[in-house]
Amino acid sequence: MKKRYMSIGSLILLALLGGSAVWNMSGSAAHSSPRRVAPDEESNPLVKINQKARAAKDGDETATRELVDQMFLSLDLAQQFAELDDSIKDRLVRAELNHKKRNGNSSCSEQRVVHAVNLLADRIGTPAYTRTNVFEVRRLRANLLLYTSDLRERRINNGLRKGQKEDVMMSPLETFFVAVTLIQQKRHNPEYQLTNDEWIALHGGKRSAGGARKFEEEIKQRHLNSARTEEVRQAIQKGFAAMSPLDMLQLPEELLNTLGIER
Amino acid sequence: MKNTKLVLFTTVFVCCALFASCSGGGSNVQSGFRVFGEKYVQVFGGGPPMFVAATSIQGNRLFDYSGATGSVSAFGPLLCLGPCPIEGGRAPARWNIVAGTPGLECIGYLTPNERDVTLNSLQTSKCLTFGIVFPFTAAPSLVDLQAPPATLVMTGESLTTTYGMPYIEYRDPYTGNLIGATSATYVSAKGSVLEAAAPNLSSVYDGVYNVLISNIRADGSLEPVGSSTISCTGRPYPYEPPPDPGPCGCPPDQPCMPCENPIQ
Repeated sequence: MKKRYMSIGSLILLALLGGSAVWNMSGSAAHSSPRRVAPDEESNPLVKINQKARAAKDGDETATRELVDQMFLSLDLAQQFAELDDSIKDRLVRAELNHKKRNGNSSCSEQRVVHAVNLLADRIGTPAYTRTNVFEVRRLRANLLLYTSDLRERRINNGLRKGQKEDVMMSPLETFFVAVTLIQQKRHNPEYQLTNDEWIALHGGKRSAGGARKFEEEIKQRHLNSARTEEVRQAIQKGFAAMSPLDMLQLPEELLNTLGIER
Repeated sequence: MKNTKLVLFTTVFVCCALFASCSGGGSNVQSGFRVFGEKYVQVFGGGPPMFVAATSIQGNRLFDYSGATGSVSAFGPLLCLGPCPIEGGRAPARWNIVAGTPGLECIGYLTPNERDVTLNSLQTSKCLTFGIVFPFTAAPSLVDLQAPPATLVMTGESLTTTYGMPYIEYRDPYTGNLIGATSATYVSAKGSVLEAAAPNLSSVYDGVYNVLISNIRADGSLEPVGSSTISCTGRPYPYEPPPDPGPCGCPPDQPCMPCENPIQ
């Protein structure tokens, strides 16, 4: 039980710090000579996730486990402390396989991602723009479709219809992936470091054919100064410093439950 | 015993991760500055960049400004827990700072490589890595919603009809909602042009809409090959507020699961 808490504890820390390449350090704080990478294979971590997702579509346990391993690797969630990752990975694999056995029925959804990300923001006390909403989660999913479409069951004539009703349901692994990816965007990407009101204001306040230009210019500027990224980083440090160890260890369990990932 | 080790290890890790006091993760420097490398992915030719991972960062000083101090004139490649402290990094000075491996890992940058570095500043370099999907052009690119066209033509590359006609999805960039989907009715022999019936635009409002073009695989699944945008005018509407996610993250039309209680 304690091991499970330890494992989950490490997961959330890594998720929070995701993108900080915690586990990419490979035993040192700095690589003296970075690995050379082939353009299409390794420079875009999402390519490999999608390849593994495609292989795991039929619910094969080995392929599903490889997909989970790849997610941890690509999302900077793990590489060194395998013992600590195992129970988390087992939970994800089990949940995904059960999801497939139940013909795609799952308690995971976009709404649960919203709740988990907002719960995290509330617990740590990060700025309002790190909170999210259903529209933002859906926007992220739409962007991810370009790179990891095989994580999502997309078949022609299988329910993809106007209004996207069926699409709000997600597999456990997609839910986990979207949640961690959204946390990463909230930490680093100015396009996601916005409240809904700010997003609307930057689009001119109302829908218009030219509304995106002002937004794109503003985001370009925000990429240059990274002020909100620094603000989030400091808020995370401050928030965790104020949190009791017990709360810190319980938080990840609460988050995985909120995401609807079964044990 | 094993659990004790885990507790000890995790405690060390927590302190290390949260307080950033480990090597490479310091939030402050005694002198010099801090650097951080980020990797983004973007559709070739445009589209919203998406953060995918931290990456290595390296730099070298180009020239000093008046009053420059510090003895370090080059660093990296470094990959750190958080921002890498460049203790003794010369500043104020003009530096060339790049994330990732130019040309191999990164095909472009969202931030300028040459920059003026001041003491105790944080310098973030954002590299763009290789995307997968290519941009298509749509015709017409501007649609009058009061007189929508019967068909749309998309021009790009890599279209194939081997397992079926390519599939086109239209999404609202604000809500992320699918507003329509249709199959192509014609694809050129070279796979560079498709024609498709326009989706039902009767409930679409002013704005720029995203288009995703996918080929059909042997198993009937969709493989994205391109993206585009279409601007619509003629039906103004404000942005609606996002829907309430509901209690405990329950989907509106699904049974509610408890948030806090263990999930069986």
